[in-house]
Amino acid sequence: MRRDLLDILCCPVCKGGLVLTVVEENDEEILEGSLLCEACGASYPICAGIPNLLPPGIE
Amino acid sequence: MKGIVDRFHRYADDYDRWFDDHPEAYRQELALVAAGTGTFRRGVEIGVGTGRFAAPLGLCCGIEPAAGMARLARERGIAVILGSAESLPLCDGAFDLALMVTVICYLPNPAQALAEAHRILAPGGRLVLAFIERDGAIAKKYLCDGEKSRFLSHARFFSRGEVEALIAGAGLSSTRFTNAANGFAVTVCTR
Repeated sequence: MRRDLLDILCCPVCKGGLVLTVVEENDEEILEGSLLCEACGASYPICAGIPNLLPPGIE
Repeated sequence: MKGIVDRFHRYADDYDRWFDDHPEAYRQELALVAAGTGTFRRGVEIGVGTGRFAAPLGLCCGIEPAAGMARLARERGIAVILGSAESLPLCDGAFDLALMVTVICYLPNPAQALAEAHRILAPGGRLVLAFIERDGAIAKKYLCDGEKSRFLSHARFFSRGEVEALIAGAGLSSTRFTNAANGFAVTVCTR
């Protein structure tokens, strides 16, 4: 995912803001990392460039 | 939901191939949807699948619950996010266009999905909703025919009246229905 996508993303459960942690990125986008909800503490992985923001339990 | 999402995940390549094998049906559906989407600034397709509509129509962003489909949409240049239509991971009012193509028939809670579409649209934003009509030719044909039945036999189709009620229930106003005369209907809703 590109970094500017973060501007429009939120937690699917509580709609809180997300904090990005980058593990691996290239010139264009983040490949591996995570998104942490500041409000409810849920954590969502970014794998192979795709953020997984499925609500917990749906997966 | 889990059953059909798993099916879309496992058979993503088969799903995607259908559009190459049926170019005329794809062209017709795409033209009907394009007439609804028109011009916009920032669009998201909810249930983006493999990106067969979002990519040619210029929607930058896609939500998709099935990982196998999401990977193919990403290859088509869509900023795809694994997510659920009923619990969108998108900020309030972030888009002026939302698109759903043959999605509501698979959702456990379409009313909640339309309420979420309303939430992520800016005032004046549009939801373009394409669906297979319950009593139309496509619904009858694909339920017992070939590759599409793998997915559509799991679907729950709606009539126009039921879709209108869902749209109104979400606080959206429906402006018009268009139709390829075979039961693939498109309606443009305004927030």
